[in-house]
Amino acid sequence: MVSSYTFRFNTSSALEALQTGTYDPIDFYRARLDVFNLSVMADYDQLVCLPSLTTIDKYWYQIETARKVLRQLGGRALLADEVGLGKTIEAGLICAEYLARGMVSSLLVLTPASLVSQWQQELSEKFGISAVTTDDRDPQQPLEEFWTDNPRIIASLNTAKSAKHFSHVTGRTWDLVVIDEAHHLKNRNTLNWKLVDALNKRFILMLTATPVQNSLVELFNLLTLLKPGLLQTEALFKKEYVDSKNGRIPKNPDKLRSLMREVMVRNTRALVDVKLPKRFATTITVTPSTGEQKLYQDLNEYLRSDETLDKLSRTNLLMRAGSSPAALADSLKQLTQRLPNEELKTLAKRAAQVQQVEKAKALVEMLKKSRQKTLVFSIHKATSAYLAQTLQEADIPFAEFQGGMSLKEKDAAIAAFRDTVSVLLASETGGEGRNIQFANVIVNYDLPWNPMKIEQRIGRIHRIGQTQDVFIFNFCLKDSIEEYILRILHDKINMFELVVGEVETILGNIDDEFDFSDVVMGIWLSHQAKPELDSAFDQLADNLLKAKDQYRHTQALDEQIFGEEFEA
Amino acid sequence: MSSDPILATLSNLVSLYEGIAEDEDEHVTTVLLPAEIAKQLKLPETVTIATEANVPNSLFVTYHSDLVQQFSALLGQRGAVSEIAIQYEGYLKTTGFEKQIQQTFRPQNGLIRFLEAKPETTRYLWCHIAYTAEADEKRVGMVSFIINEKTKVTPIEIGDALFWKADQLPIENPEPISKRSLEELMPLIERTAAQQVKANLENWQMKLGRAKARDEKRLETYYDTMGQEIQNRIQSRHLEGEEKDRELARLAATNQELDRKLADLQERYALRVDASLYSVLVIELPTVHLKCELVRKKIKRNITAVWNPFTKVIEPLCCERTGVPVEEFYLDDSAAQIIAPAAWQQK
Repeated sequence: MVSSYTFRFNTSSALEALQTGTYDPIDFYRARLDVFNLSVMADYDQLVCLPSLTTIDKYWYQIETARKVLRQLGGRALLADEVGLGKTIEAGLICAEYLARGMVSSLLVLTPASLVSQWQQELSEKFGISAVTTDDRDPQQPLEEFWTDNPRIIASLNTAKSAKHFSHVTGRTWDLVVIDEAHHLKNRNTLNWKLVDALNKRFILMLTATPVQNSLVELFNLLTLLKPGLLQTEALFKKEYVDSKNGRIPKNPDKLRSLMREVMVRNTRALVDVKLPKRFATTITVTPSTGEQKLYQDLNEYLRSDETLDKLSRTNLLMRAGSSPAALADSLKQLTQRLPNEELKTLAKRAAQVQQVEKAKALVEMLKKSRQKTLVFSIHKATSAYLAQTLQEADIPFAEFQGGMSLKEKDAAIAAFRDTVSVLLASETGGEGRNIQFANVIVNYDLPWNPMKIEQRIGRIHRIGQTQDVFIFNFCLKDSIEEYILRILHDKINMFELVVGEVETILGNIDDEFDFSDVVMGIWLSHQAKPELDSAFDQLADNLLKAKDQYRHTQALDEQIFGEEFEA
Repeated sequence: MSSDPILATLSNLVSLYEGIAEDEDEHVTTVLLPAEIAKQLKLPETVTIATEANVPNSLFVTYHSDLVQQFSALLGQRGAVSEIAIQYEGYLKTTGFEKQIQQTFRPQNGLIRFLEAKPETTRYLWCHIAYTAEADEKRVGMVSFIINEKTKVTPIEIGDALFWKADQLPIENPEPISKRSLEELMPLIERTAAQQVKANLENWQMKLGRAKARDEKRLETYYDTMGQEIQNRIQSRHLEGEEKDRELARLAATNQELDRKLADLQERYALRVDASLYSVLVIELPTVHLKCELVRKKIKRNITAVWNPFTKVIEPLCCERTGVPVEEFYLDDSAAQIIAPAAWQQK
């Protein structure tokens, strides 16, 4: 499949200078290289922003995509890579490049509500692009001022299209607009579509892994936002390109594809050769000691009965209870300072007194038997501290990687993990942006309730460069909320066998604003008896399964329509 | 100085030609040019250059601006070759190499013996190769690599030798590289350039290959259908004589057209690369030369390996048949020449 290749090495002035011994001062040598670099940057042969983006892994197809959008597609494109290939990175590269070249100064990112803060964080941490979100707005600040004064804004589609915001968003000009999960614009009669159509924009990037979900008209609607008139009118589009009997089947596919090539990039896993080894997940359900069990039950009873306690505190306490008694004690202690409640004080005391932590025992047993490089994740500092002490007592050598450590300490921890010890105790951000693919075992000692967070953990080692199969061990206490979460994510939708990014798409299929953690918390607190809990969680699992089927269905349809013709 | 690549480059060039550049902000620089240079660039002696379009009374420049081209023309061939020496404050050890030599080099059919270590300057050539690759689009790029002039090993790392600008000393009258050395270096430069450019373009070449395969398949399907239709027509209408010949001629023409279109595709997706040496920085590094003896049966031969204080390693040797860097090697029977394992298997 390789095209023919010829290489010719020509004579040059540098060669002559070398032969004749014509040397210049070094400043001239540097200036000459700088001039060459400018010529390379002129046509995007080289991206200006790349040298400054040191905290992300950039893959060749992502750079190719950015180049293609900048050079050939004129900054108006549908980025429709398959799930998990990094459309956000591609969009970030394009934003960073335009900003570095001074070609844009205003930026609007529209995303589902659940992704607003993630976009803000990623743009800032990965691309050095600061942006405000509608959530950051000072309530005292007039809306108009917010929308006109800030050059870079991230908002949810729902907020932007609301009556309050619509006129402000569309009342100014934007150099670059990015729409994440752009399949929400598939219908031309919706406010979503009308909002984006009304935006006064120069460049626009639309991101979706599933551009066509039900009918080719959805594609017409999306591409019309990018290049109005490209596919003419809806009636003409249907007449020319859509099979009259089945709206999903293209007529004149070659002609349609040739038009689509002007606005669309779709990299597939097969094309970019991203082959990852398999991953295997195991749930380790630990029976808690009597003290632990009683504490967990009593805490739940309290949380279910006291409705005065705010949602955040309730979630926090329950998550910490699932993590470790130490983390729970810590949290309860802080809470009692704010709310002088006798029951909370008693629970705090009891949590601090728990001696026998069965999950930790199970972890020690597992680590003693294993020789693999193992990454042990825990969310809470108190849990990490407890685990560090436990591993020390069990004589298991380990290194620690925590968010608050200095760069030097982090480097040392990774080096120790690579060279000397088999265990790395890591916080949530453990190893982000670092090469730790030499490890192939992950232990989720506690479990984030947000499936995307779980994926981020797995993504630390299940990524390009990993050569061994990856093993994931999820620890949970029997009859805990985490046991139910794992039953859904692992047993029902096989999340751990899915490709990174798929679970996000599946959850998005349920509802735009679907928040998994909120839903499970709601079920947990509103049902006490086991049969009721089982039935409510089964219902949730059924919904997720339906969303997964829908995703598979759409994936197959898109595969059929687009094939492998739109690679960068 | 502005971090804007255009302004930073132009400011450097202005200073190089004895002008003054002063940044107003990140995207605006005011320059004062000597009269002669201003004349050559067709600019006033004082001019404000901006990379943002809306700066009043300024010359707006982009990557494509004439000004960049004019400066480039002004620079001409200058800066193609330069030489510097690197200052090393540390002590260059001359002992303790026996073990390191044995650990680094693994002759498979002979011996290597350490004889003596001596601090010596080694010249390295940092070569920059500019290339233009053309297929369905044109791409410009550069690859860079370093060659050890003494051992002819490339590509080689020199660690952080160039990290501190203060350690880089200009050389007033550099001694040109000898003709003999250049004769040996040139094929190395060309070969390494070819390898590195090819590696740089690998993903693009693969992509072209996939696009070509898709287009070929599409064409073949289309022309096969046409051919099939002609065949069917001959059969269904029971054509004979002149009529049949006419259809057969059409079939032959269709096949010819397919061949021509396939050849066009071959041409469109063929990747043609033109490369040349763009510039070279000759770097004089303080190193330790390690005299060693190679022994193969009764043949003995002295060679020099190089220990670089900036990498703290003994650099590989060069395969005398293929030019690749080697640490594990064979010695040939006639002159104890160093041969890489892959080349040895092919003998």
